[in-house]
Amino acid sequence: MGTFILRRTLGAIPLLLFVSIAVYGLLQLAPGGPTSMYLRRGAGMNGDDLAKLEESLGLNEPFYVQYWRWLGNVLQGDFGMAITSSRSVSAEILDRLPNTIYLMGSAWLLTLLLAIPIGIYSAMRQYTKFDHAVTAFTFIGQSIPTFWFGLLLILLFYMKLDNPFTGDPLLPSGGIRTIGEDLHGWAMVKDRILHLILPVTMLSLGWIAWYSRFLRATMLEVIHLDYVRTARAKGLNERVVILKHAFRNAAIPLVTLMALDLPALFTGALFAEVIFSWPGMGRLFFQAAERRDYGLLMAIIMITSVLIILSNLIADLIYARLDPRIKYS
Amino acid sequence: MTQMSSSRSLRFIGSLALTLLMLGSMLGTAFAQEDDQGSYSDTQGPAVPGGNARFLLYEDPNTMNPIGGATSIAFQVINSIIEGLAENAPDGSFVPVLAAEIPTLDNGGVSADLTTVTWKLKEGLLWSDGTPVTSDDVKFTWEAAKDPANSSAVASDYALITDVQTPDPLTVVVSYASFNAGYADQFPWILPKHASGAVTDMANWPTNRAPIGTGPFQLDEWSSGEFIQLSRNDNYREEGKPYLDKLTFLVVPDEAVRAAMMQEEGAEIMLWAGNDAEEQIEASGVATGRTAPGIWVLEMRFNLSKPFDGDPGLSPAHPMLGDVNVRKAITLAVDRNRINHELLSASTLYDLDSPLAVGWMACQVEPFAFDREAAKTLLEAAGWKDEDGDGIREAHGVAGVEDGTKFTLTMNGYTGFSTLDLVELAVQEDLKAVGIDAKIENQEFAVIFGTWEDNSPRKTGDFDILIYDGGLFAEPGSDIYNRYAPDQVPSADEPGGENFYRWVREDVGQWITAANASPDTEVRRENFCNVANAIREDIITFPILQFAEGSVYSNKLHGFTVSTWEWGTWDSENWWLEQ
Repeated sequence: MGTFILRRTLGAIPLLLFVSIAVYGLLQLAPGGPTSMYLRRGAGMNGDDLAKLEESLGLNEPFYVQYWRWLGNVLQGDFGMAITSSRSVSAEILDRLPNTIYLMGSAWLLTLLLAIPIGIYSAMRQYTKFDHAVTAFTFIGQSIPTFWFGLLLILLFYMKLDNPFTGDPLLPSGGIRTIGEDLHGWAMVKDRILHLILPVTMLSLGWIAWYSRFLRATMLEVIHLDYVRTARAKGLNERVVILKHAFRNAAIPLVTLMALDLPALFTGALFAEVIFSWPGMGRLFFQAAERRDYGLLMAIIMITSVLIILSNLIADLIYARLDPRIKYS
Repeated sequence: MTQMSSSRSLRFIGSLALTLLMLGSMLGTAFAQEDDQGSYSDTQGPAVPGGNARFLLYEDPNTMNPIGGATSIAFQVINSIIEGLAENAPDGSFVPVLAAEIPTLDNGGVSADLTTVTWKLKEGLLWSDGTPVTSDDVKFTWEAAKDPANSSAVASDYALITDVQTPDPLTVVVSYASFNAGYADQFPWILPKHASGAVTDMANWPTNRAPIGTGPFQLDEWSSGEFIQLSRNDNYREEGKPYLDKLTFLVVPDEAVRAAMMQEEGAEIMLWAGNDAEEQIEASGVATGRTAPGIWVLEMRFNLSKPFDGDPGLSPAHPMLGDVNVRKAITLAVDRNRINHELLSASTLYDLDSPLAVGWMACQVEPFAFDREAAKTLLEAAGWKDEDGDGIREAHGVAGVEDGTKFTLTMNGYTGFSTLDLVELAVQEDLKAVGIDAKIENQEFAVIFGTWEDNSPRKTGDFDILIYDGGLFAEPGSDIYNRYAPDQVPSADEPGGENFYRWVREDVGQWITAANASPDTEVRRENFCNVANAIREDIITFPILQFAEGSVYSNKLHGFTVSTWEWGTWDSENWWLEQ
């Protein structure tokens, strides 16, 4: 197993190098650059001054020189400066990352807590009212545009429904906390949870629908197989049959799905962050792309690439754990 | 008798109205007004101190350094923290802020040869951290701003300065290589020398994130992408101001959510609300859109020179647009009234006929008319006829154009601006109606506004019509020179030139030079208006509309004036909230 992990890790290095060169090159090819924001429709920076500024920022050097310098710095753990904000890229990311992990982690946890039981129960009770209701829910959950659903939640819980005791909106329209109030202890926890409800609901709806539908299908495949029938014939408790024998096998494809979604814990969800004014990685990335902030864009893309490789590796390791027939050598 | 009665009644009504007005004034009843140019001003009073006004922004500011490439969103915040020597009043005139007065020839602030300007600072000024403001801070600002290698985005504004002397802590003597007509606008921001850092290290100044200023507010906390919390600056120079205790900028990217927050009184100001959002908020009765004419004018700029001939210069003439009658026909064919009053909301724009009609110049030129039949007649006379009956005219005996050449043009704008898209479609439709095939080709901001080195089409002259909004600031001298002077046609020798029209008139150059060499406003206005008339005469550009500047304000917020020239928070020291 150790050899397998080492081999996969070493194999990722050329892949990451390739990704970094390709992305860096594509960014350079795109029109404009970090100094584009100095251009104005009216009075803007003139060409000479722009050239001097680009020179001072090292942006006028050939692609390979800029790339080589960037790579050298990154290997020393320095992602450089976010040019358009004059802050270090690490500071920009560290500002947003906890918020993203907090939101995405909560949504992901809620999804697992609900989608797995729903998927299993729905497969066990195929064609019952519950199963039909779940099927209807999953179709709605998957087809509803998330941004529209988010706005609908705000309309309902912020604009239409009021807290009967205070007269304030029932839930906040967005943000991670009430700004300007120095809350502590339980009041702070309550405030944070209230701010989390709507964005987590928006994010989880699609995920729950997708995961539970997927698990229902894989469970339906598995529960009709011989080994499940054998387990039942041995007189095993139905709970053991389902959770230990059927679910364990049905979960393997689900693990792949979850592993692919894992990097989203870092990258965030743009729509949810925009609609619920959540200061997360999704908006940071979008803003960096708009402002052509190469350093910041490269950092986010490279960290995401590492996470994708890492989550695939984790998925492979979980396969081996779930299915003893899978062996890595 | 009847006449006498009605006259008496009118007098009675008049005096009653006057009495009510005075009573209202004494009781502090709401008053709001628009000045001659349409700037909205809320003058309700007396002001009640205290409270927190929440200001909705759609994106996070990038820096609090006004000379370091701050975005327009960043300036909304900066303007309530950092100040300069002078600012513009809503009428476009300059008024002192940190300066004791605006230097002029009359008060001796401007030397007789016009190349030395002496500024006097107000006495007793303090930075928000309690350190005194001195002339050294002005000199420091110049040293940092003058060189783009310091990461300054405004270096060209300081190009004419040869030296800045500080004979005493309150006096700044600015020497120019030649007269700078925009000298009053030279220092819109003054930065603190003691708190900033080395001029060459501007990118790393702590004040980029934690500014120290002289404005009514100071920054307490900036949570990236979430909010910026300001509180009153106790060292502010005006006694009793600002009235507000706090000013909070909330970053809310989605317009529908910002509108919802305004309706639920979760915020007091929504910056630059779209028409739908504004109507929705106003319907709730808690807030109202308030505007002033903005500086941005949407124009169709004509290329008088042939595009795509490998020559950015003047000749040969553009096959269609080189003829002034064709340009005139285009202006006659476009129904601006439909665009400005039917397609777009009239509350967010103004009609105008000259890009130089904006601001203190207010140059009025012969109005453009809409007359589709006259447009067709002009095109026929110019040799553009539709003989093959396909609805598009072709050349028949047009000088320098092969017979049968279709009248096809391209309009270049920039992407991501839905109002521009709509205007382009309307123009396209109107031109089609007179037999002109106008294609729309919008480009990335960085492409269309790129530099000579980037081969931007407007620099190389490879376009037919540029259609986008451009603006002139309160001091327009250098921009007018860049755009209309005969020596400002972009080329390898003049890469910074912005005479994209390829319009060369020596008299225009002389008028611009005369205007920019004089400190006398009337002389300048006269010369600039000569330029405006020449622009109208030769129809090098066709102004379609002037956008409004403004936002949606809670009906409980008072004391603000919407200005054409300044950012939304320019007078935040006067704002107050009904408790």
